[in-house]
Amino acid sequence: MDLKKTIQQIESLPSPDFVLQKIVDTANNPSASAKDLNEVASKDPAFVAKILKLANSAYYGLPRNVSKLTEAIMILGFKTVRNMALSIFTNKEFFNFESKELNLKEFWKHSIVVATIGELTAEKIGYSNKEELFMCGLLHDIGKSVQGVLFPGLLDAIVKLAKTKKISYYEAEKLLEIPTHEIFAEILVEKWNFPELVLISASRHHRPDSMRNSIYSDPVNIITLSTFIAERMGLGDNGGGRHIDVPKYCWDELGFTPVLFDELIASVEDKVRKIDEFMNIQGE
Amino acid sequence: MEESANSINRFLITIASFARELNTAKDKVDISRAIEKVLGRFFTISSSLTAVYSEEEWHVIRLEDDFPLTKVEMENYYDLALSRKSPSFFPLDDSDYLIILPSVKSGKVLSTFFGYVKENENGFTQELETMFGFFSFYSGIVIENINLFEEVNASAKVQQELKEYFEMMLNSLDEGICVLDKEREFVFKNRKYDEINPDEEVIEHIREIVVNTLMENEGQASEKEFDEGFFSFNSVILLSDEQVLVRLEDISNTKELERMKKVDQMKTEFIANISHELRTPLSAIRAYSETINDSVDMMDSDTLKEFMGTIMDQSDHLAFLLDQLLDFSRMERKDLKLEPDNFDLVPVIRKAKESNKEKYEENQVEVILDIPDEKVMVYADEKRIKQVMINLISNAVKYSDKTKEKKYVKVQLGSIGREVIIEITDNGIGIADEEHKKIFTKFYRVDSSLTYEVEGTGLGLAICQEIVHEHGKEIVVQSTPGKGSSFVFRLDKAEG
Repeated sequence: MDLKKTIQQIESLPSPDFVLQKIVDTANNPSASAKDLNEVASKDPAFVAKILKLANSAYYGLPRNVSKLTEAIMILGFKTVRNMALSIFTNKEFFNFESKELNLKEFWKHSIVVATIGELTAEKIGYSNKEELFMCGLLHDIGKSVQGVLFPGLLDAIVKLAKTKKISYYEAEKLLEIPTHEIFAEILVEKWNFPELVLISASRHHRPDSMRNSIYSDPVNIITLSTFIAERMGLGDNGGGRHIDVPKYCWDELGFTPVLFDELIASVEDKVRKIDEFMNIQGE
Repeated sequence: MEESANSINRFLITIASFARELNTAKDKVDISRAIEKVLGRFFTISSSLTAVYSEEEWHVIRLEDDFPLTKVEMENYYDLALSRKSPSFFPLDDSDYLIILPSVKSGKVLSTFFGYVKENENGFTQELETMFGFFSFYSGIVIENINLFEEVNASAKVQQELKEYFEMMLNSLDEGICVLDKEREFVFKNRKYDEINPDEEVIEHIREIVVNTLMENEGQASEKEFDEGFFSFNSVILLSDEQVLVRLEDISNTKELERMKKVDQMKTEFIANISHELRTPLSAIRAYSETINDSVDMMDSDTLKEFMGTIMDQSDHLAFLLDQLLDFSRMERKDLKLEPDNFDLVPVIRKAKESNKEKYEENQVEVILDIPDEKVMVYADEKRIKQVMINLISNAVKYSDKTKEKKYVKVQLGSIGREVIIEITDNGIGIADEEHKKIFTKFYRVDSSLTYEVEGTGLGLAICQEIVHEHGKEIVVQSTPGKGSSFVFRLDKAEG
């Protein structure tokens, strides 16, 4: 595999358009006001409509309908609205390729579920930046999508090997001696110029120990655990033949207790029942 | 970049103020005020409501001014706070907004602040979202700590009440109760214990009990007499070997009652006994004198002399018994007066042996006097000491062992310093250990029955001991059942 060529190919993949980029930016800009987005929103009413549909879904359980993007932002927050926008974009551009071995609907479900578990875990263990964990979870396997979009045969080969040998997707990649989805993700997210946190969690979630003593230790541990929990709960399919390995310290460092874990699983079960709108995110 | 640096500074300054407000918060209402104060820096809050969700119900803990939303209207927002667990800025009619700021800890909404505000010029910014998120998170931790503190206080209060309850129960008991730790220090005393107020001697005994209880690893029960009274003790191990509870009861009254009952019984026996003792010589005297009276003309002088001799002997015996009774009654009245003087002990002992002659010959007991030929001068009441010697020799003879071929009673004299030692040894039936003390008790007889197998009033040894006590000395007994006994006492040597 020609890495240089591969990089060029990744460069050619879709980038967030103006509206999405603006939404992502405001979520990181302290002085951004909800009103600022009114004008932007008018440029892509179809996209905004999809966002509002998500905002009004059971997943967020608002007491009344939201009809404007600014309202959605004030009620749900900039970061949550950004998460919805990113979900719509990635679903359209990166969960839309051909695959014989991987059910893309289940793969998408895996991404949404890991995003949900990530946010709920952050909430449960008292990590205050919980909305960022949704974004990290949503994008953690974006590298596999890149593989799938650019080299459908490659993804199928990896999935087939993993499922046959009952090994994880990551182990199958290693066995085939090809660049891992972590590397593909790194190149893509760098190109998008997304927050470093997203880059780290998409490119290190199989190697949380490499981030152990950094400021990203908690979010990477959370994403690794969330992937594991989604696999064990049988929610979605990430192309692996067995669940991933989680170092024991991940649990310990996040301060997990059996009671906390039980509570987390209960709230995950509750929330996952409300992801229908995310599964049908592009509308009929 | 400059704007974001400014933002971080504003963020830190706001958080510092908020943290400072929460630092002095004592309860959820204080926290609600702190939240209102910090939000008030960004919005004009016209009214607010703070509610706590517990036991599946919302409880309003603070309500400022006229909060415009009704209870029913609030239901939706309560639900939102519970499910979102994040701050919201909720547009209402016109330009009114509802700020919802839940305090969240470990995914649980502990309290929620609802503020009714008019939209400000800047509107809702991302910076505010981040700050509110932090307020939500930080106030949750503080509330959790306050809750924990209140729980600890409440459980401490319950414990205190429980302690008082048990102390009340323990104090109502009629037994003294104390608890000591491993180091034998007191950790608890109930009221009755303080009332008993045991002296050092008793406390020392309690400490011994604690040591024994821990050593043997089981509760101990005992009774002991002290100057202060008669106590019973029971111990129990507490807290797996860490402490010992000792229950003590003053049973002096019970013991005294037992003693009095025993004395009463002994008195009854004594009366039966003494009647028998008095009747025997009296019957003899009566029979002999009747015979003489009826047939004095037919009697030769030898027979008459023999009869008269018997009457005299029996009269002497009767007199002896009456003397003993008299002595006893004096003893009871503490009226046993001594008339001490210097005298030679040797002839007194010989006379005492002589007085018992008839008895030892009849019982075939040899009385050996291992005493010096020269004088042994003592300072004492001669008459009383003679009485003691007669009694002790008489007893030794009385309780001789019929199964032994050679029966003897041996009287020895010795000397230690300024004292003479008198020892009366026999090879009689002996006295069991537990009887050693009791034999000196008035009315006590070892056989303690009305068999009259051995004659006596049961007063002899009690009188002897009393006499020796009056001399400032003591009779000590050593004995092995079946082998023999030895009675030892001392007297002061005559001065000069």
